[in-house]
Parts: sequence; C-alpha cells; structure tokens
Amino acid sequence: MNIEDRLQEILPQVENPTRYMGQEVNSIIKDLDEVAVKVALAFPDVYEVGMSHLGIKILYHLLNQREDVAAERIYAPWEDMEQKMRSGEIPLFTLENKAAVSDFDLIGFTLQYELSYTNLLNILDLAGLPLRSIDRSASDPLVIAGGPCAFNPEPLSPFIDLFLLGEAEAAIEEIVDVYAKWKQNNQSKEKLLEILATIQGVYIPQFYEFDYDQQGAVTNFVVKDGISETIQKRAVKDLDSAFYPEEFIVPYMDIVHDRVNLEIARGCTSGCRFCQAGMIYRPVRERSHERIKELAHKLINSTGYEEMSLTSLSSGDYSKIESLATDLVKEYEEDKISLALPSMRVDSFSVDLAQELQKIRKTGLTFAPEAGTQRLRDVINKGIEEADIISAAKDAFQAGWRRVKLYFMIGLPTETEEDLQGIVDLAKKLAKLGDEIRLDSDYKRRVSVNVSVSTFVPKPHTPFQWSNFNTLTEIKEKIQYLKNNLQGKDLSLDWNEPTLSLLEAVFARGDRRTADLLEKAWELGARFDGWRECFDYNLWQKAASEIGFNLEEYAYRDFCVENRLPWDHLLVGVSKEYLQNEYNKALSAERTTDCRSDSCSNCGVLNQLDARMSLLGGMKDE
Amino acid sequence: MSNCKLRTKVIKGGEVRFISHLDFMNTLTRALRRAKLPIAFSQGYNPRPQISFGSALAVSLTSDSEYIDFELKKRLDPAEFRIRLNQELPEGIKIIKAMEVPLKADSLMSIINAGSYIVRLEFKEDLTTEQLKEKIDQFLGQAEIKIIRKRRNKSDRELDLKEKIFSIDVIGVQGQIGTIRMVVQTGSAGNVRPQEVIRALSNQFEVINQPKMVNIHRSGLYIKKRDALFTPFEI
Repeated sequence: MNIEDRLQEILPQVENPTRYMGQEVNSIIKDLDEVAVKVALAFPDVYEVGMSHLGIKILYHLLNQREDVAAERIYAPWEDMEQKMRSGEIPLFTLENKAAVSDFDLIGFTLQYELSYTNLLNILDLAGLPLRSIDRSASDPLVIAGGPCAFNPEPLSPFIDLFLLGEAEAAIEEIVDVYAKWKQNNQSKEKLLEILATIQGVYIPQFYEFDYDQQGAVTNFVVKDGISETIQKRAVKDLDSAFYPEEFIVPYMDIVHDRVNLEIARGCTSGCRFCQAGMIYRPVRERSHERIKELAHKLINSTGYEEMSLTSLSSGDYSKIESLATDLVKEYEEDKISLALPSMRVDSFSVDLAQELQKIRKTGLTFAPEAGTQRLRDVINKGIEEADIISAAKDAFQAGWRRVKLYFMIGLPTETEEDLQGIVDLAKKLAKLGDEIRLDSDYKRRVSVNVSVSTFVPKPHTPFQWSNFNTLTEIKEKIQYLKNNLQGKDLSLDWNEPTLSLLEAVFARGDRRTADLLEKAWELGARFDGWRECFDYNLWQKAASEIGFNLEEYAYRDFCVENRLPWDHLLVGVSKEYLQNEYNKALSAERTTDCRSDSCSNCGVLNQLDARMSLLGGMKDE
Repeated sequence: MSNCKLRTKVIKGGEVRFISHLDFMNTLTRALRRAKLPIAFSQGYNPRPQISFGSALAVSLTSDSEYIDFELKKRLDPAEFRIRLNQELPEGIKIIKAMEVPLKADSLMSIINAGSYIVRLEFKEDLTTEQLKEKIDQFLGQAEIKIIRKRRNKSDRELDLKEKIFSIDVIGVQGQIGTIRMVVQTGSAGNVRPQEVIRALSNQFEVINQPKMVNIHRSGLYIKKRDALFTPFEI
C-alpha cells in the first residue's frame, strides 16, 4: 500500500488530520520523476505554526518557479501522528506528493527557535535517516539549515551537513545548481561539500574543529585546508527586486497567521541591546509603497484572504507608514478586508494609526516597554520614555480600548529590585489611569492591564552575548515578587516557565558539547519543547545526568569579552567591536541613538556587506 | 444588503473529507472572494459572509448532497455563479446545482429533517444478501433501539433511535463487505448520527464490525412530509 492509502485509514484517528493532508489551494504538485532536484522544506514544528512562516513561503514559491526543481513541505507530526506513523511504519512524507522524504535530494530546515531542535532530530529519524551527518551517505538527502538560530548552529553541527547564513533566497539557487551538477557527475559527498563551501554564506561544520574550556571560550579552532576561516551571511540587496511570492498556500485549518503576510521592510536600527533580530537582519531595507500595493493586490486575488498584515521588525519605523496604511485601508474597505499592523512602537501616533485600522473592532493594544525603569531601559537601549507610554495609553483608553498588554523582561543585565518595582508601578499607574478615564466616560466595561514577563536569554551576536543568564532561584524570586506586588483590580500577570528559558539559554549560546545532550533528550522522548503542555524538564535533567552534563552550570557560565566565542567565525554584518562597545555603554546606562534618524553608530554592516540601508519611503528610487 | 438568494447542492469528496465544518465554510468564503462573486455580508461589528448550511457534515464523511444558501448583493444567473465558483474551489468541492429561491425562503436548517447515508459495512465472516436483510429486519423490528451517545464535556446520554430511523435498505453484499442505505432523522428536532446506527447494529450482531467513519457517505438531505421525501429544491 502506498503512503496515501495508508493515510486514509490513519487520519480519522488523529487530532487535526488536515495537518497531514496537503491539497490546499495554491500548493504545487509536480511529477517528481520529471525534475532534476527535489527539495523538502521543513519547519520543525506543527503544521499550523510552520505554515505561518514567511521564509518557507518565499523559498517554496521561488524554488517551484524553476522547472527543474520541485519543492515540497514537511512539518513535525504531532505526538499522536508520530505514534501512528511509527507503529504503521509510515515514513515521514511530504504534503504535496505524499512521497518519502528520504527520496529527496535536499532537506532544508528553518531554525526559528532553539526549542524546536528535538523536532528537527525527530523529523530526520521519522524520515528513516541517520541523525548524524557522518553516518549519511551521498545517496541520502543533503541536510541544510538556515534561519536566525543558524547564526549559532553549533549545538546542531553534527546533524546538519550545511548551514546557510542570512537570507536564503539570496543563495538557495546557487546551492541547487551546484547540487544538480554534482548529481550528474556522480561524485563523493565530501566533494559536494567542498564545492558548496565556496558559496558565500555556506558553513559546513565538519570542516571546523573546536576545543573549549569550562567557561565556553574556544581554546582551539582548526579549519580544514582550503576552507575559509570565516563565513559571511547573505543578504538581498533590495527588496523591490527580490523575489516575493504572489500566491500563498491557503490552508484548510486555522493556522497561527491565517492572512496575507506582506513584508514591508527587513532589518531594524533601533539597536535594542538584547535583540538578536535587530542585529542579524541589518541593514534596513524597505519595500516601496508601489511594490507593496502591487503585491497586496495579487496576494488578495490569489488567496481570497479577508485580512492582510504588514510585517517588519518595527512597522512604525517604515517611511510614511500612515500614508501606506491609509491607502490600503481605503482600497480594501469595501471588500471587508481588514489590515493589521503588528510590531508598532508605543507612541500617540501609533494609537491614531491603530484607530484608523481597528475602526470596527478594538481588540487589544500591546506595548513593549521591556523594562520597568528609565535606567534599565537606557541599559537595554529601548528608546521609550515613561511619559510616551502613559500618553499613548491615555489616548488608547480614551479612544475606547479596554485591554492593554505590557511586555517586560526579567533578568536583564544590572537589574535590581527597583526595576521590578518599576514594572509594578507602571502597570498600576496605567490601570488607575484607565479606570479614571472609564469613570469619566460612557464606557461601562472595566479596563484590563495585562503584564506579560519573559525571562531574558542572552543571544549570540548581540551586545548582551556576554551577559549572564539568571539562576532559576533568582528568576523564581523575581516572578514571586511580581506575583506578590502586582495585585489589584484590573491587573493580571503571565510569565514564562523558567526552566524553559534555561533550556533556551543552554542552546542559544551552546557549543558542540550540547549536541549529545540534544540527542539524548530526543532519545528519551523530548518533542515540542516550546509547547508548555509537552515540555518536560525532568526528562532533560535525566538526559543531562546520563551524559554527565550540568544544565544549570552550563546556562550560568560567565562569558568573558577577551575570549573567542563559539560563533565568532560566523559574521552577521555587525562587528564584534561594535557589540563590545554597546555592551560597555549598556553597563554605564548610556544610550545609542537610531542611525536612521541620527548619526551612524558604526555597527559595521555597511563595511562588511554588499547590501545598503535603503529607505525608499514610498518612492521607487530616492 | 442581500438582493438574491441562491440555493446550491454541493459535493464534498474524499480529497477534503477531513476538513471540519468551519474549515469548509472558510474555504467557500475564500473561493467566493477569489471568484469575485458579490456575496452579501452581515451588518454589525464583525461582518460575516451570508452563507448558510443545511446540516453540518461530520469530519471524515463524504457527501454528494450538501445544501448551501448564498445571499448575494446583486442578482446573478445561478449557472454563472456555479461555474465561476467551481473554478476557484479546491479539488473535492464542487457545486452541482444552483437555483434562485425567494429571499424570504425558509432557511435550510429549519426545513431539513431527514438524511440518507450509504454505508459500507465490514463483516467478520462472509454473509449473503439474505442473511444481512434478515438481520436488518430483526434490528428494525425491535421495540426500541438504545445507544449511548458520548457528548463532549457533558455526561453520556442514552438515546432510543427506533422512531428516528426511517428505513434501512440492503444494496448488496459481497463476502465480508456489504452496502446499505439508511434514511434517518436529521436536524434540530432530533439528529441521528449514521455511525450510531451502525454501532447499534454491531452491538446486536457480532458479525458486523464497528463503524469506520471513512465508510460513510451522505447521499441526500430531505424535507420529510409524512412518508414522502422532498429535496430542498422542491420546496
């Protein structure tokens, strides 16, 4: 029986069978015997999460444009489906042709968050492939990984053949071309990797050897002869001419971002010192209003979606955002297509804009002050003043919003009890303000101020890459402090599971020694660690003790600025000197202004990369 | 504002048998948008397209007789509506008939009260047509047909299906496989799930296996008046 027939029997027995069904509108099914290169694009999480990811959509349609390539999708099967697949001996299959993944030429994973790593191993195993690169032969698929976590891919280095740094649409076709040529010539896998290593952005971990000391410093770094010592990320030069899909697959089931996702800009120059995205996606490049409108039109027509979202790391920074948003709202009002603008900064302007967008329904407004005091906001370089937050919240409550959500981090460098009290004070101030406005107005419903705290995890390639991760005891005490003090009418508090953040911290700055831990945890059954209902810290502790690894000690390591870091050979554009300088400024609570409006902060991107900041501001060229 | 109401008969085939009722609804809405058909929206804070179904089809079942009413902002030839929408529908979903009905026509939900299903039965050993017919007669001849209905987040409930099963016909038997057609009560006044009938049959006769959802196909939805069945197009 082929996979398709066996699925008919299994699917009625699993939760959400549409996850494994494929057949969606705009999915592309080719005859696999007719193409030269078969690519399986993998998002190591469940369908509804993976289907929401823009990067895979871009690569899927870009690769499928080529007649000689078929790109198909795979996601991590949920636990019930995994069980059925294992007991029924059904290998992992692609959604398009229901073809065994092991028959593909390339498997490309996107690494969006560290806690998806066990799913990646599980996908390889369900596909029937050996987990480790050295155990896979030339006839097995070549396993590639990219995405933000590829900027410190060391924990995955034994499992992945090739990491691609930066924006994959800039390099993926070169990889496919090399692969196609190699396949014709019947050469060894070693030879293939050697040729691929000459492509900018390609990092082949098996060509590099490391020794580390207890603190994580690299004590020995050896590179294979003829292979470059550093790897520079890839970036598209300008978004208007870069490929962007004109069709999206329209899923049957409700996915996380079930709408047209239109990327208006890439990169961010705000310079928040904890933020990895703000560092690794530089330089800022905007798409022109003209091109955005053209894409909006095509995507709405090809999908039939009733909602469109303009995405970027900081939409409020996009040049002339209000004229773009107003034009789009006007254009699609009659067809009842709504427009969303996530990732806005907190200011009164954004409230005005939100009011324009949410004319009909006022859902919630989210502000991200990140820290409770001005001092700590200066440390992290989050350019928000308390007065801005208060005046924006005031405008929002007056305009009729009832729900305000505030994002904060705990465990930031230099944090004291005063900063925690700052979170409490700000939330209480806003709740009081909201209630006063309510009493003075026709709104009957009480306001709600929700405080959501996550634990700061130091990330590679950020000024805080040398900062310490708080101990579990410290984190728990801080959460307790907030629980005790954030009580009162109209206030609520959510927080992240501290052990989950600890695990994230282990892998975010992890080196190759964490690979065995990962494999052991997967063996013991770790899956979907980012999901609270699946995450089992005991299992990770068991895995750690079995291989003689100390999770807490590892997460709490001190990183020293003088030492070589495990990811120093991977260049993201911003220089290490800039990061170090920013780290020093942070410790003295000194701000760095946004280079978009102020002077250049010398981050190094323009020296290292061929791409330039481009603020089109609605013009085709400026 | 609606200016025209079209009643349609729709196939939900094997390709889309696993999509839920809500997913089916969203799929239609998006196809209507792609086809640029002038669907009417509800008034109010959260405008919804004016689409109404006769009866929700359970996940895993196929059907060649789903009835759906579409309200349009302006009048449109039903054939044009059918052709344009079919061009945008995914494989497995197809409008096979469309007809204009008065705007004030009673909703499908309020009139449909019977459904017919074709079910493939699996047996533990070979049966003949006569043997199956005999068992069905015996089954229907009982004073009551009790089953336990499991309900989500609620306690189980015991139901008597006797008055709600209108007929069961044997279409054919071949070895360990048989095909039957049943007509049962559907709708808000009392709804019989075809798998419950098979479960009751199987509970009574060892030789008949428990139901498999993928072996059930909805072949009709009707308005039952006394002993006569009318389709929603005949009202």
